[in-house]
Amino acid sequence: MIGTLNRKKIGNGAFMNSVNEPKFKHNRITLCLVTPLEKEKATVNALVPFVLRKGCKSCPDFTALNKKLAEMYGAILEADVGKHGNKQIIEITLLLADDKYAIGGEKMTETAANLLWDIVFEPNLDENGHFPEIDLELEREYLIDTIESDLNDKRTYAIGKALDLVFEKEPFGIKRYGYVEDAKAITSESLAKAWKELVEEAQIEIFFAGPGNSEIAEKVFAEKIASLDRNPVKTSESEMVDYSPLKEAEESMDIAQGKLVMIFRMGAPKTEKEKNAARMLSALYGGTAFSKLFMNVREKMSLCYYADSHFERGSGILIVDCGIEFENREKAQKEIINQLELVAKGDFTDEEFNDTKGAIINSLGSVGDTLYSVESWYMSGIVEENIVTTEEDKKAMEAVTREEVMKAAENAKLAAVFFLKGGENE
Amino acid sequence: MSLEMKKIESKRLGDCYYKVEHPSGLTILLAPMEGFSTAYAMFGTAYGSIDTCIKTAENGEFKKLPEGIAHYLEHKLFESEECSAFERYAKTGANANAFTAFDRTAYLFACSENFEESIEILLDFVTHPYFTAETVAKEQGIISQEIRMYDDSADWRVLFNLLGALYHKNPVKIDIAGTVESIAEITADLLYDCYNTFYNLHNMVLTVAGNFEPEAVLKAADKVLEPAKDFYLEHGDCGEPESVVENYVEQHLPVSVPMFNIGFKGKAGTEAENFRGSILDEIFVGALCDDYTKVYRELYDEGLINATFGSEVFCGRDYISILLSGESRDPEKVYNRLKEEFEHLLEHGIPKDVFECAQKTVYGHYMRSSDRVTGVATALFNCHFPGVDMYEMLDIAANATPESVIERIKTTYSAENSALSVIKP
Repeated sequence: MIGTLNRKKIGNGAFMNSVNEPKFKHNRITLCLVTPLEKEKATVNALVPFVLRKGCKSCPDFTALNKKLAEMYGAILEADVGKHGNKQIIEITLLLADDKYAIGGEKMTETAANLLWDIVFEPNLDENGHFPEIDLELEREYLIDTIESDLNDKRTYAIGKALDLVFEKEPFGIKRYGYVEDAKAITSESLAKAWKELVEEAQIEIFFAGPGNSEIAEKVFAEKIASLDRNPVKTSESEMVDYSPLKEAEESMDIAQGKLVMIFRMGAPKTEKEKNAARMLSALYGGTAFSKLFMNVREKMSLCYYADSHFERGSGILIVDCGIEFENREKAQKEIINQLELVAKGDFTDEEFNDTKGAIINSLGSVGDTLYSVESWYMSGIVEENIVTTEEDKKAMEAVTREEVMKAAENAKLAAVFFLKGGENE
Repeated sequence: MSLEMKKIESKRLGDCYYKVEHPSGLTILLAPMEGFSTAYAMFGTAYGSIDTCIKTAENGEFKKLPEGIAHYLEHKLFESEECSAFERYAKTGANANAFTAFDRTAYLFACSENFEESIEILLDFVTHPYFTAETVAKEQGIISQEIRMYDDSADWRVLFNLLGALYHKNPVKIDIAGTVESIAEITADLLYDCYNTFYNLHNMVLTVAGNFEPEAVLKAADKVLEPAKDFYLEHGDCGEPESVVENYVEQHLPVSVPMFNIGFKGKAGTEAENFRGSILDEIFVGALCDDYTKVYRELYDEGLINATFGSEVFCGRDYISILLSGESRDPEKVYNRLKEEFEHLLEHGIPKDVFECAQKTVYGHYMRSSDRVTGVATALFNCHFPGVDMYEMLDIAANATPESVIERIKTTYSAENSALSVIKP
């Protein structure tokens, strides 16, 4: 069971969201800035959370800030950028013990809310309105390293390459952390401008989950937001492409295992019903340890350790990937296609179908059991403008039929194949 | 039959768990958590990749085993004559998995429904091995691919290269899954030998946390578990010296920025000493280089470390080391600076304000794990084999002083017995 979401407008384009969860000992407070994902701004926006976490007007020194957090029983400050469909989300989180665990009776929730506000809206700017030069330089370098670190994990790298093939110019294909060339071009001025635009124009979503009194935080935020001069910009929905011609690519690298990634377009599923059928298909096909891909590509053919499928709701695609011996590429690819065709033909038992449903419903039952999953569950709903509880989602998944899953499999058309193979870099 | 459930409470957290000594020989640790929907269960044995040879009362002499056999056994235990455990769990909707570590193997599941059925499956399949030449052969391809995947993982390679530099003889330096060659030597008979030696209920533990009825666990245990034979096992001393093999090791892999692991090799004591001591070591390493320290700031501002920099204390049955990891364009400079700071702290002690930050951070870390069913079941599991009470970890952190920490570090570590492992692009 997930707690009920309490959502309230507290300012121009600003919302306070809270879920009271008395079973936890900590509160998680996240301040999100939701903005359209645009290629020109993606990189500089991604740098904003990295510089924000270095300090603020009320605590300008990075070491002093970290000390302050450590003294709050090791409170954790996270600052990152995420993307959801065609939206970019700057997320600054504080995770800290609830007031009742503060040995000295400190008012930690209030302190945290103020600190979070200061980090995002009252940064340590100089007289020209710029971030400290050293922060710009160090964090820009770190952003470049982060962009390039895709290479360190070959699985992530291969999936990224396959996504590039599929999306090319669609907004869904814009990289989460942006692009190296754009990062190199960031200046004090462009960074300051990006921050200013975000705080003025982005939708502000504050999320509070935990046992604490969210009204304490709400009061802090509501008062401060009232003083802001805001001009929020609404993100328009991007059209999903239904199908695109198949694109294939290969790359060689000095590696031990080949990585095969196949991406299917699902015919732009728009309704919840269609999306749920695609989710169900993905689970039946390659989402569990008794799925078609697991039982055949791994267990029967011993071709791989992992062969998974994953449906991306935001962009409407199905990603399948596995790690194999280089020479087994054809064999694996053929079987992956074959298994999908079998599902489309209805070659799965009612038992497999119901067991898959059971696995989804069972895992939905666990969403309310970590602060992080509570937040990400509701934030997805908020960003997609379709807020549902896990109980409602369970009912919707229960209602998916065999025929809908077969139809979803039939709708799947291969759009990209990427293979990372061994040998010298070409 | 009603068994005695011993209640163990934490005043600090207001939490409790129950300990049951089941007549089969299994220790069962149960932590029902109010308000949670998930139950998380772990059933496992004090057997892992470091158990590369066995000596039991029956055979009387040490017998060498192929590297990676504990992990291979973990994979194969999921099979039975009828169907795999995954297929059985499919009927309950539980999300099941398993892992093999250096000195542990664990089988686990999470569920929000049908707990009674799932706990019975867990107890049943782990206590009923079924290995044949055919099923063993089938797994070669799958595990070979798992090994290849790790061969390409820079995070994994940088760690094992470091362990190879730190340890002369301790099998902790061996890759958990073994090699494609070593696993080729594994047979069904060898798997049975290992199973019968290590999967004795006296050498195992069951921990459950979250949403479940303790009675349901005991009922399943009564139904499934047979009394275990007496247990005798000698691990033998691997004869590991205090010194390290070498101070520097590097490998080239396709990565974007050089990655490093630094290890300070500790003098291992008993498993319980290592475990308790590791909490003081965590406080020390916080005071050494966590993000509120001067040295962290200097390294950061010089562009020598970035936000990926982190630390952990790596400990188990007969090994303990402090590990630091990150990305750097000059890992040797980072290593040298940290060694200097290490010696400086031992000589001058830890400043009071820095100590408080480190202590509160470590305390907060253990408190956070009590907020998750996975965290609680895992902590119960990890504490069982060293024989430490889960809540004692908070007390150790709370009662630490700068002096007790420095004293522990002086007798356990030295800047000299350390190494740097680097992965270069």
